[in-house]
Amino acid sequence: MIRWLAPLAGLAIAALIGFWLVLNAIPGFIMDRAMARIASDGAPVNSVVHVAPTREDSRHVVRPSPDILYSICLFDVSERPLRISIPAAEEGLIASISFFDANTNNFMTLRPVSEARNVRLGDEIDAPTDQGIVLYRRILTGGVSMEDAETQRQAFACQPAG
Amino acid sequence: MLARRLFFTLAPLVLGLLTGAAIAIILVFGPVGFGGTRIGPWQINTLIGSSDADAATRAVVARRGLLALNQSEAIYFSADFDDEGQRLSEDCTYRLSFANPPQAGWWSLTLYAEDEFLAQNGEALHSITADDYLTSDIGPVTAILSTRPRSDDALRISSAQAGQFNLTLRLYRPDAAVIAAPETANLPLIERRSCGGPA
Repeated sequence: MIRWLAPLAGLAIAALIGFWLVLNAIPGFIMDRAMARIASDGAPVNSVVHVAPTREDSRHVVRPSPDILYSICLFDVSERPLRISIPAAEEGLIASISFFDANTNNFMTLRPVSEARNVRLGDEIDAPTDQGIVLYRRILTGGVSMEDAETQRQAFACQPAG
Repeated sequence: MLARRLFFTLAPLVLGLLTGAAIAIILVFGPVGFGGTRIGPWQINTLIGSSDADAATRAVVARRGLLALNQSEAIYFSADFDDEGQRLSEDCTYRLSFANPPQAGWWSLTLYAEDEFLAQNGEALHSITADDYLTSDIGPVTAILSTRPRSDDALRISSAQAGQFNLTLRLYRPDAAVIAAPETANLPLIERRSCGGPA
């Protein structure tokens, strides 16, 4: 019996290690795949793509909301910071700009304020990982037309800082 | 002799690593919820979107709710079961009823098919929102979840082609009281009406 204790203990410890390693690797793996899917559809890094309104054939990210307009900036700040333009707040506008690192952590969220502004990701705002996603969400409330919402979100932009 | 000894030393370790990895994959990719607090059929995990989330929560959220916001911007209630604990399914018709609107700047309730995406049924009836509530008569708001159009003018979400589906209620800019105590949120009842027959 005793001769089996060491192998069993080894098996149990190895199982815990395997469990922990895989569990911690999954978010990065899923984020990596999502970013690759978005990039493969022609989204350049460090530039904004205004995603078409969500329909039932939208398949890039699970559980998309049909009531939100999304704009995506895949970022890579390994070489230089990224300048992000935040639109000004407007009457009836519910919008947010959220920052996700390569491990899916939402490390920052900004809201539009009274005046449009620029922020710098990679120095003014610290990025936990060099790569990640900045996501603009604009809720399509009943008080605004799709045309107006489209126009408003054009003010959201990202580009390498000069 | 040495090879045999090496084998009996390494085999449990390799087997253990593989077993642990398999359990993690089953945990995350199996039919699991977000964990957290259960309120009737609804479940909420306030760690969604938070860097304080444990590894298991982060992994499950990455699979079922990638790019979720933290709770200052939005909180998410998720339901896989009706009020009686039966799995939500397109085989049945349900009635959702809000006694009062959820306490938030704006909210939406969306049906997601078994594959975690919008159901592909061509009806474009995937959600109801705060706007539907505001434009309805004063009083409880009800919506029907069914696979087929109805003869009445009830608010409807289509469950056609959804299989065993999920309902996700998003509260944007939720009231501070709801963030502090999610169990005080005004959540809709999910009442199963009929199964198997015409909806």
